[in-house]
Amino acid sequence: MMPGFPPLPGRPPACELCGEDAVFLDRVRGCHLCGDHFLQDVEGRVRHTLRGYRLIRPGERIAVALSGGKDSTVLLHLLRKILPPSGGITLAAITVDEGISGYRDATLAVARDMAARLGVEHRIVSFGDLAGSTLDAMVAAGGEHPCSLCGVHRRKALRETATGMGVTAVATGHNLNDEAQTVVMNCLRGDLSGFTRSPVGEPGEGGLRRIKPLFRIPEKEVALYGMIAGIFRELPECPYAGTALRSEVRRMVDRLEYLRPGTLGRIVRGQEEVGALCEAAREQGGLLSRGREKSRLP
Amino acid sequence: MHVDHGNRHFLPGYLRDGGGKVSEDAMKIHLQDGTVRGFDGEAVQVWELLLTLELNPSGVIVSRNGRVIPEDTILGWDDEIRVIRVSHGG
Repeated sequence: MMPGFPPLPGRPPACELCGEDAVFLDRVRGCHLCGDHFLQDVEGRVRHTLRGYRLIRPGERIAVALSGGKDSTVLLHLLRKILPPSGGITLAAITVDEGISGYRDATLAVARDMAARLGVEHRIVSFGDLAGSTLDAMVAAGGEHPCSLCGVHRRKALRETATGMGVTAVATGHNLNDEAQTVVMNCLRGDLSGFTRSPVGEPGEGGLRRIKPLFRIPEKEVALYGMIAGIFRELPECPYAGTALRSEVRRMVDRLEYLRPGTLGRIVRGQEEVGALCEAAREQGGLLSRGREKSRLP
Repeated sequence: MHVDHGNRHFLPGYLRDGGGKVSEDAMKIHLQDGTVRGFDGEAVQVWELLLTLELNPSGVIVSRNGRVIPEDTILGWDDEIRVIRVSHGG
C-alpha cells in the first residue's frame, strides 16, 4: 500500500512484511501485520524479555500459574513453543480453584484441556483444600474486599504447591495493561514500595521467583495471539472484578492508550526507571529502606 | 505513525437497535452479549464504528465474516461484524 493512502474498501490493509491481508494495526510502531507475522512478532518480543531480563535459567523447572483465562493460556502455549528444548527447562502448570460459582468451572476445563494438549504436568489446588473455605464463603462471611482475599490465598496456594513440585519460578500471565494499571494504582494509593517494585518479576520466599514474561505485551495483543493461534475462548468474567479500584483504573488507562498510543509502555518504562533509581539509592546507604517502604522524605 | 482518533465524535452513520430483527440492507454487528445491531453508513472504518458503539478499539477485537481485521479496515454495508471484548478481569 502507498504510504499516506487509505486502504481500499473491501480488503483489509496489507501486511508490511508479506503483503497478505493484515489482522493487526500496531498503532505504536505504525505497521500492519498478517496472522503469521503477528505471531512471530509477539514470540520475538517475549523471547527478548526472557533473554534481556534473564527470567529463565538453564535447567530450571518453571510452573505457569494457569487460571485458564486468555493470558495464562497464551503464556503456557508461548513458553512451550519458544523455550529451547536443549536448555533442560521443564514446564508445569498450577491452577488454583478459588471456589467462585458460575465462573471457575469453565476456566478449569480450559486449563485441564490446555495442559493435557501440551503434555504439561498439571496440578489443581483449591481454596477449600488449603484454607478450608471457598472464596464465595469467605466473601459471604464479610470482611476484606474479594480481590484482596483472593490475592492473598492464591499467592499462598501457588507458593506452597510450587515448592512441593520442586519448581524454581512461577510464571504469571500479567500483561502490559495489568502492569500499567498496577503502577497507577500504587500512585493513587501512595504506595511507594509498590511503585519501586520491578514489573518483570521479583524474588519470592524460599528462593521461589515470580516472573512475568508477558509484561511488555498489551492485553489486546495477548488475546489476538490466542485467537490467531486457535486457543482463545470466550469465558465468563469474574463476578467480583467489577467492584475493584482496578476496574476504574483500567478504563482510564485504556482510554489514554487509545488517545495516545504507547501510554501503557511509557507508564511501565517510567516505573522501571524509578525502581532502578531507588535500588541504586538503597545500595548507597539509602534514601529508602526495604519492606513497606519508609521514606525519609518529609 | 500518529493516528488521532481521539477527538472525533461524529456519527459516520446511524445505529439501529436490532432486537433480533436487523434489515437486509444494514451492516450486522454481533456484540459479545449476544445482541445484534444494524448500522447504516458507507465506507466506515472499524474504529469509527466502535466509537459509535461507545467501545474503545484498544479493548476489542473485530472480525468480519469470520476473519480478524485491523481497526483501520473500511467496512461495507453487507459486512457481518463480530466484536469480541478482551479487556476485563479482576
